[in-house]
Amino acid sequence: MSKRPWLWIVVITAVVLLLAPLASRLPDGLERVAADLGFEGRAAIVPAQEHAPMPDYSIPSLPSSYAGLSTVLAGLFGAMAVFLALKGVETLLRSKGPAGRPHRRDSRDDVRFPQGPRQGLRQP
Amino acid sequence: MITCFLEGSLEPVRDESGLCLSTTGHFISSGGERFLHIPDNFLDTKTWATAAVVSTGAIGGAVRAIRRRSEEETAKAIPMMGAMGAFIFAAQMINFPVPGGTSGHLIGAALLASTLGLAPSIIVMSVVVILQALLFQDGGLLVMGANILNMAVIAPLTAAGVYHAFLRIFPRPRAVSELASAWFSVMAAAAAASVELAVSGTIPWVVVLPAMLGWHALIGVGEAAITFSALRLIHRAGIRADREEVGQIV
Repeated sequence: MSKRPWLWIVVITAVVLLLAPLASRLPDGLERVAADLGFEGRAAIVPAQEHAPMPDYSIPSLPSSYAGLSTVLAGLFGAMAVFLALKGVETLLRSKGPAGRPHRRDSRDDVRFPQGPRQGLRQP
Repeated sequence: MITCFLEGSLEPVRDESGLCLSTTGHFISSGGERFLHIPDNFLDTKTWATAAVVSTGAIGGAVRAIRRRSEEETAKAIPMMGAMGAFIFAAQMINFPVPGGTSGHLIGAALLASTLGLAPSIIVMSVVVILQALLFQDGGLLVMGANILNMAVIAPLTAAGVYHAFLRIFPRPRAVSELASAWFSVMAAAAAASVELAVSGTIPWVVVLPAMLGWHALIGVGEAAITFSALRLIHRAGIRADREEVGQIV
């Protein structure tokens, strides 16, 4: 289990997604406050966001009788999108810039790159 | 049936097209959608623009903090960012009812802070908030910076700070610090949202702050309970930030 910790998290995520149709439909904290205090109607959707692919965590092309499936699928796509986006971010965070140059040279980096900081200044 | 509203007005406007098209250049919103994060038109330009600048700076700071560390130091947390982000996204979909006819859902800041450490939490949570707005219409586009500030910056910072402070007072069991950091992180995010709404002139702060904090005090209990249970599962996989990583502010 601890050899592939991410796999364990993926399993938990899948279980949580299957539970998504059971989520409460009561107004969320902010939504409730906005309704009680009378500014809920201000909520607007800018034109650029009008055609978001899965509004309200559902697949628009599925009929409403498949609401549960719709939610699970939307959640699955969303979780995959977050996973893939963060895999890209992970790669960016791991790379140390062009030609293996540390992004930020400090004493610690110099220990890890014993050839010295000048090495990185050479252009390929 | 879509109800349309003119910007800043609560009067419904009849719109023949049924599409809430604007002819005046103002927003016209279509009511009826649910929102879990701040939607557009709740905040004014100066507020969301300021929030966007601060959030961008915070994300930059988090990236710098990670890249300053050696590969050995980040070897545990970095490869887990994708899986933890997916988990937080899924968990945020589960709205749980709280007494009084309202619901809440996990933010997950404390959960991330005590598994990945503070800086990766800020980045993971930002990606979650951005994709929620882009793919699911959850949270506005213009106010995205404010949603990032509240849930991806202020909530993890508070979680990490409270976790560290509580560990000093109650070193054992660690669960005390985990529960407290979860509850306080929700309260901090709710307070920040209230301040943004008040500064925007949407609603006076004396009205919005007690209402937001009141409901989120209950929602925070749910956050603490879910954080506690989820951490038991996640720690079994050996994903656990060191005490220093959680509290490391920069």
